[in-house]
Parts: sequence; C-alpha cells; structure tokens
Amino acid sequence: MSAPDHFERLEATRIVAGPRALDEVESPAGGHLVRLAPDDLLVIPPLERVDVADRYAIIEPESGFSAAWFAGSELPRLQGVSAWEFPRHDPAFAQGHLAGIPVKMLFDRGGVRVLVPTVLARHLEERLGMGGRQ
Amino acid sequence: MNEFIEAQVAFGWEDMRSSYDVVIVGGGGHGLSTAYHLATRHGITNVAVLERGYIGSGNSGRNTTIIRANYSIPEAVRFYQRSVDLYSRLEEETGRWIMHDRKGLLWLVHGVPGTRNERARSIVNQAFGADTVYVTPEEVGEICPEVDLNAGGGEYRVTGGSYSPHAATARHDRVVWALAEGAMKLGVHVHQRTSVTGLLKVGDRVTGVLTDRGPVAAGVVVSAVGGHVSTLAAMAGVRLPIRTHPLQAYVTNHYARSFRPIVASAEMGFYVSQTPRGEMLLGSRIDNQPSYSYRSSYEFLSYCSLPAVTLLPFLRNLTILRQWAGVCDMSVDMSPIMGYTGVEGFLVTTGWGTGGFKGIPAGGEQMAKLIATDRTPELIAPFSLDRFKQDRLMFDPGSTGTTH
Amino acid sequence: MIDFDGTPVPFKEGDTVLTAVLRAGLRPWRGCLCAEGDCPHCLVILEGSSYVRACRTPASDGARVEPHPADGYPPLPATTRTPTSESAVGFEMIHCDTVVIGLGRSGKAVAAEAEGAGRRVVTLDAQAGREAVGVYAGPEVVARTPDGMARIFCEEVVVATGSVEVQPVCPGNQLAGILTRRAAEGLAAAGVHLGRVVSVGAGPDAIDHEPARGRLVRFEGEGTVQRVVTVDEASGVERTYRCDTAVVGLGSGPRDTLARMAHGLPGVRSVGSAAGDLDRPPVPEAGVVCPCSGVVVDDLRSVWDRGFHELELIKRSTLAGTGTCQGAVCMPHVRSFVAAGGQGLPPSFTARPVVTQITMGEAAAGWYYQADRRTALHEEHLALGAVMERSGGWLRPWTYGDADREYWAVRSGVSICDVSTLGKVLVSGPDAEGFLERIYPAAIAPLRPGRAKYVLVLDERGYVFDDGLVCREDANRFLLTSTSAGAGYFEMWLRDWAEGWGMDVRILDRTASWGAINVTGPRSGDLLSRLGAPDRLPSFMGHTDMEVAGVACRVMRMSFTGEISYELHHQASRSRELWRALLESGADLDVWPHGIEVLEELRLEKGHILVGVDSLPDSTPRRLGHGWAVGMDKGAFVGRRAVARTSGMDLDRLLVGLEMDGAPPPQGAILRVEGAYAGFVTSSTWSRVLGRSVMLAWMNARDGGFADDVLIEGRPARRVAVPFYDPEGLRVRA
Repeated sequence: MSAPDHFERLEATRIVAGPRALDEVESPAGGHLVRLAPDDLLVIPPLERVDVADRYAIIEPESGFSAAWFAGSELPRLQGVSAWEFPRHDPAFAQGHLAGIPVKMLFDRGGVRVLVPTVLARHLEERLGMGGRQ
Repeated sequence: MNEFIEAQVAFGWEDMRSSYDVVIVGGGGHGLSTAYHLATRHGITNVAVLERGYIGSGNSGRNTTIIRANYSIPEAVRFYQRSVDLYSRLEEETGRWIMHDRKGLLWLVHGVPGTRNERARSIVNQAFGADTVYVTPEEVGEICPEVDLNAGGGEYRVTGGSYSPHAATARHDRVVWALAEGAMKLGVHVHQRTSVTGLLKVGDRVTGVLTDRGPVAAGVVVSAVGGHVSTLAAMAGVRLPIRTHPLQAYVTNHYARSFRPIVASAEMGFYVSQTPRGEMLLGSRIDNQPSYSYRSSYEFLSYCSLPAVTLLPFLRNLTILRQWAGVCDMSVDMSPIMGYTGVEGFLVTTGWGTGGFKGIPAGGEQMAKLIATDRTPELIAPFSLDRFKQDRLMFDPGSTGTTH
Repeated sequence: MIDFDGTPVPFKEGDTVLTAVLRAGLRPWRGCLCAEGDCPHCLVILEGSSYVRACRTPASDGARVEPHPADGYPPLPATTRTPTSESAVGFEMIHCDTVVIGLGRSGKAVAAEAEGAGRRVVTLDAQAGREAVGVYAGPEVVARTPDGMARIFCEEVVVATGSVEVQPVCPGNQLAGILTRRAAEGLAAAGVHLGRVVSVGAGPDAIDHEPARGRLVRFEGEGTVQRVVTVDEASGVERTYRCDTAVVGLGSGPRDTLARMAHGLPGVRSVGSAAGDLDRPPVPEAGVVCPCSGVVVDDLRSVWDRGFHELELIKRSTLAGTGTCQGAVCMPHVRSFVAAGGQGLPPSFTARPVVTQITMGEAAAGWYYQADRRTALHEEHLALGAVMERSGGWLRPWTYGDADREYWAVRSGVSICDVSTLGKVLVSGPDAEGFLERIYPAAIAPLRPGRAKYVLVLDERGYVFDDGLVCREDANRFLLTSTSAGAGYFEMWLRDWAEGWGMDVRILDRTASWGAINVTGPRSGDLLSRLGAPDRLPSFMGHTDMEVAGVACRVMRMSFTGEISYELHHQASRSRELWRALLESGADLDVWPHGIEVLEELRLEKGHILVGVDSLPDSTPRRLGHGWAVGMDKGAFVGRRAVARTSGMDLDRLLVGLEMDGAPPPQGAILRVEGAYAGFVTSSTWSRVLGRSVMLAWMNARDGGFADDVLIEGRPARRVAVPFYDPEGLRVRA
C-alpha cells in the first residue's frame, strides 16, 4: 500500500494550553503528540481522559483533519510539489503547503503521514492524483 | 522600417534656473501632465519638472496602459471618465501619436454575487457618464468569441459581466513624451537625472527643493512622485496614509493583431489585452507584501497564466517574452490623493494605486487648475488629503487593486 | 523526415531543425545565424506554435515546421473553445544546494568542485534541452526540461552561460548565408555544406575560408549573401570577396542576461566568459541594428537628434531590444552608439525574465485554481439537487431548485441550512473577558454564562469589518462566531491583539472542525424535540450543550431568518448523520433545506445587514444604524478613539430600510431625491410574506437630514424602520 487513494477523516484530541502544561502531556500508547504550536497540541488517537496542568486549557475532540500514509517511495513525488524542503531525518514534523494546500506532515519510519483540513481534502486528493474514495 | 518607432517627438533640454514659479518633483505622467496643463491651459510656464532618472522611468513606463472609467463610486466614475475623454483628444491636441485605441473592456464574472456587482457597476457608470453596460454570457460570446464560457470545465463558467466600450489603451511612453514635449515647447523645463534630496523651508512653508545639482526656489512645490512619495512628504512634515505594493505584468511575443477587447476577470485574477505591436499584455492583482522592489517573481507568471489560459484557451501556446514590476502607492481607501496638504507651498498628487496611468490627463488638468486658481476644483474635491481627517473616505470596490 | 514548409527534410541523430534544414541546402532564414539560441533569426512555427528557435529544437520524425512569415508577425493561434483539461505540462519543484547554469568548461569545473564538496548540484544545459528560464529571489531558478517545468530552490546559483558572439551591423546584414564563427564551425562539423566561405574578423577553425582584409562595410547579394565588401582603412579602397557563406568573427560579450536579471540577489555569481568583458563593437554606421523590431542605425540617429539621450529612452523610442531576442543582438551596438554621444559606455539594459521563452501553458503548470472549501455536507447538498456557489472561500448551496418551497419551509414550517462555514473561535483564559471587552465595542462583562450577544467587530479606524455572536460558556471561556468570509482574518485579528496586549488567553479556531446546521421555522422546536430533550432547549439568545439525534451539539438559539432558530454546532465528522436525521425525522413536517439565495431574502426582511454586502469598508456603526451596538460607557476597545472622534461629525450617510411596490430594483440601483443622486441600493428582494419589495440602501444626507421618499428607477420608495418583517421580534422569541 504505497499510494493511498484518499484521505480518511482523523479522530484526535486538540489541546490549547500554556506551553509548560503541554510539555507534560503524555503520549497515548502507540500514538503521537503533534505540537502544532507552543500552545497547541494534537493528540492522535484521541485521549479518553486528559490531564493538563492548565485550568483554562481548551480540550476538544478534533475531527477537522483527514489523513493518509505515504510510504517512502512516495516521498519524491510529494517533495516535487512542495516549495519547501522536507526534513532529511525522521521522526520529524513539518507544516506547510503541499500542492498549494496547507498540510501537516509527520515523517516517520521512512514514510509520511499527511494531515489535511478535511474541508480541503478533496483538492489535495485531486492534486496528488489520488483515485478518491470508491 | 518599423511604424512604431517614435518619429515625431523632439525634446528641448534647457539648463536649470535657480528659481521657478512651480517645481514639480517627478517626471512621470502626472508630473508632466500637470506641467503640460499649467502651460497650455493657464499660461504658467516658469515651471520645472525634476526627474531622478529619465522621464517616464517609474510607473509611467511600467503599467499596463489601460484607460477606463468603470469604477464603482460616483466620484471616481466622474473623474476617470474625464480622463477617458481627455485621452481620446490627446492625439489631436498634441499632434502626437500615442497609439490611443478604443477597444472596449469586458469584465467577466463567474457566479451570482459577481453578476450582481457588475449590474450595479453598470448602473452607477451610466448615471455618472460612463457607458458601461451589463452583458449576458451570450453577449460576452459575441463581443469576444475567444472566451470559453464554460471555463475550467464549468468551475469558472461565465455568468455575465460588464462591458465598457469607452475603455482604451495607449502607449505609455508616448503619453509621457507627448506631454513632456508639449510642455517644453511652451517653455517648461524638464530636468532628468536630478534627484531631490530635501526641501527648502521658511518656517512651516515650503519654498523650494534641494537637489543634487543645487537648491531651486519655488513658489509651489508639487510632489508627483511615485513609490517614495512618503519619504518626500515626510520632508515637508506631511504624513500620507499610503503603502507601496509591487504590481507585476508580462508580455508575450508579438502576434498579428486580431484580439480586440480588453478582457478582465477579477474573480480569476487577471486581465489581458493585445498591444498595438501585437504582444499579449497580462496583469493581475498587486502583490500582498508592501515593497518598493521592481523584482519579478515566477509565481506571478504562474498565477496570472493559469486563469488566462483557462478563460481564453487560445493563449495556451503563446510564448512569454518578458515580465516586469512596477509599484503602486495604495492609499487606505485605494483612491488617489490630490491637492493641498496643510503645509503651505506643498501639494501632492499621489495614491494612484492601480489607476495612475488612467488618471494622467485628468489628474494633471485638475492639479494645474488648482495651482492656477488656488482653489480645489470640484471634480477632485472628494480626493483631498483632508478626507481622512474628515472621515469622508472614497472606498471604491471597483479599484481595490485586484484588477486594473 | 521533417516537413519543413512542405519540403521533406531528412535528418541525422542529434540534429536540430536548423542543422537538418541547412544541410538539405535550404536557406530560409535571413540574418546572421548564431545557432546558439541568442539571435532571433531562425524562428519557426512548430506544430502551430510560433517563436520556436530551430537551433534549439531537436529534429524529430514527422514534425511540421514552417518559417515565420517574412513580413509581419505570426498569427494568434486559431480561436478554440476546447475546454482545457488540467495542464499536460510536467512540473516539479526541486531542492538542492547549487544550480550550475551552462556546462561549458567553467560550468563543468564548478559543478565537479561542488559535487566533490558534497553539495547537491543540479546542472542546466541548454544544448541538452535543460534551459534556464529565469533566476528569481530565493535564489530560485526556473527551468524548462524535457520533463516539463522545474522550479529549483537552492542556496547558490552559478551562471556559466559563456559568451554571445557579436553580430555584424552593416548594410546587407539581413541577407541569408551569414554565420557567426562558432555557428559556422558547428554546422560544418555537422556536415552542412557551406560552399565558398569568406571570413570577416577572426576566421573559423577547421573550415577552408578566404579571410577578408580590412573593415567590414557591407554584405551584397540577392536574398542570399554573395559578396563581402570591406575597406582598407588606410587607403579607403573597397575590396569585394565573392562567397556562398560569410562567417563573422567580431568577438563576443558575456551571455549575462541571467546574471543581470539576478543583479543584487545574494547567492548568485557568474564564472568564465559569462563574467567576461564585451568586445565593444565599432559605432554602427548603417544597417539593421535590431532585427526583432526592424530598427536601423538611422533610427538611432533620428531619436538621438530629437533629444532621446538615454539608453532606456532610445530603447523605448525605437523599440530596439524589446523583441524576441531581448537585446542579445542589438545591445552591444546600441551601447556603442550611445557611448559615441559622449556619455561613456552605458550599462546594459535591465534584464527581465524570461531568458528562455516558455508558453503560457507551461507557465501555468504547477499552479492551481483557488481551493474552495467544502463543508462535510457537500455531498448531501449535491444529492438534494443543490446548485453550488463560491462564497467567502467556500462552496455553498445557492438553491435546491425551488426557492418558494425553501422560503415557506422557513416561514411556516421548518427548514434546515448548512451554516458550517460560520467562523467559530473558542477563547479561554483568566483574561478572556477583559480581552473580549477590548476586542468588541459592546459590553461583554454583563453577559451571563449560557447567554449570547450580537456584536460588531471594529478596526482601529472605527469601521465595521465583521459581526457575529459572543456566547459565554463560563466565567473564563467564550465561543465567538464571525462571518464565513471573514473567519480567517478574524482569528488572526484575535491572535494579533492577544499577543500585542499580552493577554493570558488560549484561542482555538473551530471553523473547519465544527459543522453547524441551523434549524429554523415555527416548527423547529417540534423537530428538535423529537431528536433531543425538549425541556432543555435554550431560550432566545441562549445556548446549551445537548445531544440531538445522538450527536453532541452546542445548541444556540438565535435568529437570522426571523423565525425561531436553533444553530446546532457539532463535530464535523457527525454532520451527515445529523443532517439526515433532521430530514428523516421531520419528513411529516415537510422539512426542507434552504440555500443562500433564500437565506439572503429572509435576513433582509428582518433588516439584518450582511457585512461586506451592505456595509462598505468605511462603515461606522452609526452609519450602519448600529450605534446601539457600541457602548461608549465601557472602557477601551479597538476603534474607540475613532468612534469618539467621528461621532461628533455630521452624519453624511446612513444605511436605511426602503420599501416599494412592484418588482425589486437591482443591487446598485440609484436613489434620487428631486432628481439628485442620493445613494444606492445594497440589497433588495421581493418579500413573499409582505407582498412588496424591501431594500437596504445607502442614503446620503441632504441638508443635514435623510429623505423619507425617494425615487428608484423612476418609482417611488419609502424609507421605513427595519425590520420589515415582525418588527417586534415576536416570532423569534415565541
């Protein structure tokens, strides 16, 4: 499964809180902590229970992104539609535009998981020549 | 022999005097037009135009040469229609060929909101003297058969538009030269390679300019500078609500002339016309980032070409010759600023945004009238600098810097 | 075989069209050929595309090639309305350390050295079909390769493009059969028969030739060069040399267009002869100086004598250097001409991209249409037959095909509308209340948890640029809504101010993450009660969290339509489920969705403004008739000083409600009072429920007041208070 044919809606937890409080959040087993900004954290998969040492933290289910996994063999093709250079080592996280669409990219194990706002996912599927959901 | 080689204009360069009645800073279209109208309309000829480079070296020689009056507020429609009328008489008046060509402007839209806006535009245009009419997609196809009415496979289908028969183009350089020559013939001095480095003042009053060739006294100093106008105004103690943004354009190679109208789509973000020499001339919106840079970007070629080849598929195989950039002084309401500044002896004509070339004849005519009569003419009263203090802004949805 | 203008022309492997055609004994091109892509003399029309250089085009079997028209320009391509599919042109963005342009000796050496140092090097070589198009800030090099267009982002650009040979300017220089020295050497090596060769200046290597002595005066011949005429400078005696081919070796100058284009850009340097000096040609005396624009030396003299004394003015007045070769041929000569005028050798023209002409189709490659966002209900709308419109960066259902049905579902039954596009932002923190007090002109502190308030958003100049609701969740947490089109800007606005003021708040934009469905109409409560908990439905301008059809929702009771409305905000992943449940459960209530077209009618009947449609960029709350939404008795807020300043001025225009009998005038229709312009209509509709047309319009003050009666398109209209419909608001509170 090197070339996915569509982006799948992703369920996650979004936490906006003080940076130090976010530093303390623990990764769910087998999951990812994606630090979108110093005060903004995306947790995949969603957390059942969250402990954040910030009583004003905004903790929300996040279903606004869709995701797809691209194997390493697909990376050159993705790099070819990106005006910024991908990180040379993984794991790494990067945010920018891919084929003109804003994305978040989680580089890991030689491949990359691409997160795209679901409201724009169809455009990215078309621009990357993905077949689309059957 | 190429018929487009300039064969008529002759300049008469003179030595600089130490004092003039009027010193105009900036030898572009507006500065020269002001001088020209001072001399031809008011007999005021003890006038100098100071130009840092060569005449027309700024935005007067970098624009996309479109003349139109299809603005969206009454004040702007009236002003630019005056300019349209003056342009159409400029060849006869100066005896110089400026390649004025009334070709009509088709302004296309691709959805219901845009269609409503173009209908509204045609209403206000007609009420204030411009001949813009609303057109259906079928009429678009008749005026310009090259348009793909179902552009982008329907994504940018043409739902209507407005058509301005008055819209024209003229060769930018030739407008500059005709005005310069006409002014010089009557005794106006034009000094190239003359930089203004400061202002002479007595108290708060401006009494002349300092140049890299020495001081020059003046009864009135007029800033007709493009780009660095804020710098000059600051020397007079005047703050201008202006930011400068680059505006890019490109031309293709030359082709036998057969494409008639100017076609624009603000929604898709481009406009195109064929020049008298046969190049296809394309432009788009101003760059987002303020800058004085004349540097081009490749992204511009891409974002301007995609909608163009989508709406006018025959353009696809034309070859691009050259791209360039100018800068636009954008006032906060996107409309020009003309007249008094509150500092005695110091006037401005600025903030021309994307309308500078269009406004050259009327802008110069009105500024000259203001200088000669020491009263603001009614046509440009709405565009005075004090409108920002008076909260009487001239926001014009038709001049928002998207399409020119 | 190539089809050259109807003649079959054989070719060998590696031939360009130029080589093949010349080897076949044809001489279709006039002027001195350089065979290196610099001069404009070998232009052809290849498969309908003009301005293709034969010397840069590999010969290929079956290719249809014709020369450019001898007089005039090639025609525009035939008009076609063939829909353009996505560009077939390849496109790639490439990242590397060093780009070397030109693979002559210097270029190869630089590339080898950089590679040896472990740098990632991309090389461009026009002869191998990898042509640089331009150098841009970055640095970025754009190239055309056999695979399509490439944008190459790098740290360093090395221009090693070599030199351009100086072309002869003299009478007869536009005859066929003249070659530069390097062109002659290359063509001879490729087996092109040159016949009797006379050389001018430095002679070609490996070609039998007769050197012409003295200074070149002119070329003579009928169409093709037959004689080279020189003059002995000392004696003034002319000498004539008969030839089939004239080869000129007049020296060279740097091929520096790319370097000049990149002037001032960090990271770009030139090496080798691209960085060399110009062999300044003699001051031209006669002949064509600019073949592209047909400029002769007399033209230069003519404009000079009339006061055009700047290189740029000469260029602009004669158009020398503005044609397809961008000055490669004429510039050395024009510079020499200007220098003779006593000003010294002027610097070259400014160089502008592009150096390799690409088609507009190629330039469009790799670019995209605007990506309109789609809500989670996009497919649902299409399934119901909706016509979609672009609106505020989204695709939204304009109508489901029957406006009457959509309208009356709202006014007399129940309807649903996808309002997922609304801006939605959560703000939380100890400073949240104080922060919003400074953002909004309305008082926020008195707002109790569970309650909502309509608010304007002002800029520093006191102008309204957005509006929405503030919903208070608890002491320190709020949900804010904004217009669909303004959502992105609004979030940025909040973040900028929070940062600038040093406010302790957390901000999270939920616009794209939450769906929102408005359930509206007198029966909306009935429908929701079937799907949720009736006793917990909020009162007007209240909000609460509850499940509807099993979907967790924030239910906000407000009204834009003029009927009881419940906005259901929920996770976008649940939108379709919720939408379908509402339609299914309300089937017996004749529930039916409404689109934006009808929504705009409904809100207009209630006199609700649409920011950006009814407002102008300089609309103060007072001008909008929304002075009530500003609390000058509260503390600081953005725009307060401006509002205070402008509120003391005369009110010059006012957004008013108008009504009239008969059909609604169009948006933009002009108001007249006693024949004079008095404003224009911003929104108008035929009110189905009121049986007359209603409008919002900008009205100019007249003698300090506002007229009650105006003429619109010659018909009388009356100024009335808004709302037009249900002015007491009984229906929304029912």
